[in-house]
Amino acid sequence: MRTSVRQLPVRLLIPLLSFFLIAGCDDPSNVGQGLVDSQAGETRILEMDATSFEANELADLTGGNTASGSFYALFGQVDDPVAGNMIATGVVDFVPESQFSTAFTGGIVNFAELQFNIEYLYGDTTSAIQFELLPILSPWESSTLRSDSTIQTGTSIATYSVAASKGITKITLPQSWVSNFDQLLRSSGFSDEFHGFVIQPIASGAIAGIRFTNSQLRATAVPGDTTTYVLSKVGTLTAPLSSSIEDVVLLHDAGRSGLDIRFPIAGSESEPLMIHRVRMAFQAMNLADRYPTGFVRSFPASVGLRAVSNDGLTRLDILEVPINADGAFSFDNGTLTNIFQSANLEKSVLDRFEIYLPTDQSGVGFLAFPATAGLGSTFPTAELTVTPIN
Amino acid sequence: MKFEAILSSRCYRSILAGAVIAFLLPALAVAQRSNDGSVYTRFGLGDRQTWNSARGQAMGGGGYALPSTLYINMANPASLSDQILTRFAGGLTYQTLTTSSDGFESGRLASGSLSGVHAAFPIKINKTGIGLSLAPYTRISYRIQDLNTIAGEMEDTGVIREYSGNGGLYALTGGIGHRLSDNLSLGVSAQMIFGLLEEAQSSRFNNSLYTDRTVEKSTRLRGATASLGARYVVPGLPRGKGLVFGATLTLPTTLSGERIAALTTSVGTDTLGTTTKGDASIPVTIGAGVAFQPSEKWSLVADLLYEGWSSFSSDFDFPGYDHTANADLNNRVRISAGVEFWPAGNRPFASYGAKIAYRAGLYSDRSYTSPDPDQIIRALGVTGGLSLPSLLPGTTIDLNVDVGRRGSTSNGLVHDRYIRFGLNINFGERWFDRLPLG
Repeated sequence: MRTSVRQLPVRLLIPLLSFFLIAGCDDPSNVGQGLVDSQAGETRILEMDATSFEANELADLTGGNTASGSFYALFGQVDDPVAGNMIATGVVDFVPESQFSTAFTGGIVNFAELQFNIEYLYGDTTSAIQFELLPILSPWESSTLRSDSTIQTGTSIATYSVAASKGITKITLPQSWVSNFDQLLRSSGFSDEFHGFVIQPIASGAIAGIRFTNSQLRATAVPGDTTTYVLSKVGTLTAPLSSSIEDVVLLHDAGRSGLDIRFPIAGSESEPLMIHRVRMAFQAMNLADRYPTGFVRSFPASVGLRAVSNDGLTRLDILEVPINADGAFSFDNGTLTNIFQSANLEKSVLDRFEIYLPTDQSGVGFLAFPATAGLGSTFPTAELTVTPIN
Repeated sequence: MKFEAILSSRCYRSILAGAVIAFLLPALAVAQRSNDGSVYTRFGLGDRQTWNSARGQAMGGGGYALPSTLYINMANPASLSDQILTRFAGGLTYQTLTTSSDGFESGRLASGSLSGVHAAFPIKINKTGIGLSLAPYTRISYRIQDLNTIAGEMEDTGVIREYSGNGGLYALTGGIGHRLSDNLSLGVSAQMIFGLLEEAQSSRFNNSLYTDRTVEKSTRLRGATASLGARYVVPGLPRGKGLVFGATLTLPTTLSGERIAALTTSVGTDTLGTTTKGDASIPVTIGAGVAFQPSEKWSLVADLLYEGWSSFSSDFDFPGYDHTANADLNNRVRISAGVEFWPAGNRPFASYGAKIAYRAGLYSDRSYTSPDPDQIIRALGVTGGLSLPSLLPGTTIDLNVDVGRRGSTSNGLVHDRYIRFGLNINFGERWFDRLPLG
């Protein structure tokens, strides 16, 4: 009996050691939260006003082909009651629809016409659009064409006037042009050597948009056949706008500038934060009462947000969202939240946001925003859900 | 072979000692990952820890003047001169904690942790000895979780906020003690202080529109210091009685280190900024104590510990310490007293029950940190313990208990009530003796 009592400590040793090591209670409570919160701060909503909201120097991408980008070539001129004088110059190019027949290549082209499928209109649809047709002298890329790009053109081919209405519009190319381009029109090198036309407005009350579908160049050879060249590339060049309303910034589709917006989120402008959600809300102005009856004003359907680096070389598309009927829209996704988070922790090369109208909208519509800095600022606001970092 | 015979085998005992120490060492890692402690461990460099010996721990936690040939007393390096046997000692602590605060429901937490590991060898028996120790210097172990609601424009969203911390500093100590005369012993020790302090802050949502985030901050520190110790035995007392004074001085030092912070989401971890290098000072520590033995059966001790944390400075911010303010910490003062009753005294053939030592003590510990600079956090506790002799001569198993409370529920503070159970193993054996020839 005495021996077993003396053995007891040794025999209990290992089980007790194991218990002391393994035992634990995994049931955290909130006692002490007050002590920690006083140093760290609670999760809360933070309303953050933009520090700048202004037009930038970056012209809109307006080129497109049958696979991507813009799907209208816009041409015409409108005196917009808000945006001022809008001038759009269309750029189009064509490629043969199929291989030329021997009957076509063996003949002589004696007739050519352009067939434009107008599907987009902006402005006074009761007016006519007068324009000049110019040949393009050098190759151009639709994927990089912007509203302020330069296209090398030759002398005017002809002047035309078309009705500002939707549907197929045909214009006949002058015989002199047909004669000059006879061989090229029948050449297998047409796609490489022909660079298209510029549609330069002269006078009008509307801007029209030519769509790929059913838009073509047709050439007829005698004796022989008719060949179709389908619209392969489109683009639009625009002139700068000047708004007639003070303290307004415009986001103009096919315009000469985008909109930059900055928030005081980085470095010394803000305390270190865990950012859980960001919602950036905008309200475009309602301008309906500034337009006369009959003025067709197509409103952009969607808007995009991207983050841009200081040098402008890095551009990260974040999100494209629909615009509500009342002109309101907001951005709210994980990418936006992560960009704010990285900026707050000074780990991002992105230093501003840019609002843009997606290229595939291809119109000349615009959104107007109030833009008053300082007291009574009407700059946009971001709503951040944050927890201060201890 | 019978169990007793196996136990009496020298080989077996050595293996057992080694196995237990080896068993304790991994506890370093396990214990430091725990999050089940008091919120007060969050502040400063963590909750100061002391484990000088199982015996001293049961007698209030001091022992600067406590002489003993049966324990390794790392409180005072001069005590290493007492060593007769080669010794290994180690201990584990199991703590249950009830924590409460005005306006919050009480929480109950429990966790196990390492008290420390000691080894000591006599170079010259009862004259010169060396000792090694690895024990926590500070400990961080807390987790606070709270379910709250954010009032949003669109909808209210639930958020679980969590603050947690773990880790701490360790002290690796090597010391030597020498008995200059029958009355005076001196000792010196060198101490490596090192460790990793980790804290995390997270917010998690029950709504996929929100991104869960966790910020983790790790601060690694390392440095060295030295301690001097002296112990003086008052001469002329009758046989069986003793009065001893002891004191130690640990020099201030500076720990150097680096801090890394990282932001974690469900998709990955991103470091925040670059690694920050900096220093943190460890202040001077002064300990003094007296031990009185009115008879062979009784021992009484009283101790005072002072740490000058008001001079603490660091390039890093810690919870409760703003490095730009530079004076947020308090001096730590710990006062303790204890008694030991050993019925058998030095009688080698006393009954087993009489050979059990009974210990009790009490202490007051004014913390060096506080979540509120205007408030002093103080811990008050009583300690007790049993020392159970084993079949292995010179070896004991010590069971300790520490019942205390810390802080208060007033002024937004937290009141902790804790019970700590200590399981300590103390091996002693004669090693390195030259075997007789023939």
